Amino acid sequence: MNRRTSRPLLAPILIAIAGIVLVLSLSSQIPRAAEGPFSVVLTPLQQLFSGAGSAVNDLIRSAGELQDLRQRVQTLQRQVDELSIENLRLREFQAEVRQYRDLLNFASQNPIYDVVGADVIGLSAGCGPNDANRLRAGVCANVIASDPSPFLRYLTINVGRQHGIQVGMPVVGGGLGLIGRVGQVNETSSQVQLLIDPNSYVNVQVVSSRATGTVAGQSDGSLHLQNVPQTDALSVDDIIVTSGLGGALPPQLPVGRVERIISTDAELFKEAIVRPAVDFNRIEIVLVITAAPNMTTTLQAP
Amino acid sequence: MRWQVGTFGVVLALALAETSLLPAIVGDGLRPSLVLITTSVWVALRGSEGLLWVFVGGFVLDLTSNLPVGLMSLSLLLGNMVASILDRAPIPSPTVRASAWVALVTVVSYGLNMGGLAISGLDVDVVYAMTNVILPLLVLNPALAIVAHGALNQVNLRQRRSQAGRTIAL
Repeated sequence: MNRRTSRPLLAPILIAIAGIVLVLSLSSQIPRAAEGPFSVVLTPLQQLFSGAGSAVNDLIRSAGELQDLRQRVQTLQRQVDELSIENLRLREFQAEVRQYRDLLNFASQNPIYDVVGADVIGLSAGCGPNDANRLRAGVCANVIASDPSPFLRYLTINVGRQHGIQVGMPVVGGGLGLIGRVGQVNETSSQVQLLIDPNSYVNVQVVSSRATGTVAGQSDGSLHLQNVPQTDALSVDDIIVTSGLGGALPPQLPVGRVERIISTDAELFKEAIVRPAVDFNRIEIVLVITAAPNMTTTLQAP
Repeated sequence: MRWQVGTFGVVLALALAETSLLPAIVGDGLRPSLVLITTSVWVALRGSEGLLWVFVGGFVLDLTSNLPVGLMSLSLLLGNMVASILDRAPIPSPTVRASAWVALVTVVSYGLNMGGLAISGLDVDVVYAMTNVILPLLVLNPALAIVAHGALNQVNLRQRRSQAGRTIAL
């Protein structure tokens, strides 16, 4: 113990400095650190460490999966055989469908004839996934860090102001489900507030009943659907998408699926636990939506 | 000077490992507070001199966090101040003392973090934070502190010898 140094003034000085910085930060006189010039230096380092972490993770997972791989190869080989046979059958069906389509085209070009099943033509003229891609402008980004505080759910991505990113822009990933919104932007990186952050609130819609509500993040990584009117239908496995209300987010982005209804009939609003559409543990690459129909140009901070 | 630059490099690397490397490996799971463990063990070994590195480590974490700037460094500093009550506790083993030190810092600094979030107007689920964050970290951080103490004690002894050598030479 006698070897330990004693500098009685050091502790009060350091605490005073940290306290002053904190007070200035709380009074918004200095920006959050992620917006400051330090982020320009930290971002490449974070990318380096994140890349190393991913490599280690891949290595661990590969080693763990090695034993299963042989069995999976055999299973997959059987599936390939079955699918080859199924593929042959589908090709036959495709040829059949082509013939039906020709018949229906003929019907539409000759309206004087009485035909059945004209709504099939209507379906073929509907929007496909390509339209969605054309309407949406996206920026692809890699996840490079998580927030050090266990009470916040933020990710850092390697695109920022330089790439046209603004606060409030929606971020999708993992099968194009909504993962959150851009919370802070700096030159070369941005902080994404995840849907599961306890301070995240998103206006949503139940696909089957068109009921609207709000999804709030939960500390345990689930989502809490609330404010659904008692008169609207809500059941387990209902799909939840963004409603687009308020213009902060485009409509129809998948949010999750109703896992459990937690409210009773006596309550004013229905509430449920929603399983997110995205596995937040496996987010590596995301897409930031920079423009979309029905999304206001002046984006609001989440 | 070389010693200070090297130590800063280590603290920076630990902060980056905590915020970028570990999340890529363990995902959203529980992550040890590497900066907290290392800097607190160093304070337990070196006394108030180590507080400078607590401040630096906290500030680097502040730079990567969405918490108000200064909250991490302030909570780590205050955590170590509270843990200094162990200086008067009759704990014979330095390793056990370092582990208990880290446990105290964990409780105090994360408690202050939650308080800071509440003051900032952000929601904190206290029950979840206690059961899923602070309690598990209260096991994980002190356990890792034992390992950290073993390594940092060697560094401390080497530095002491080097300082003693310089003093004799003068």
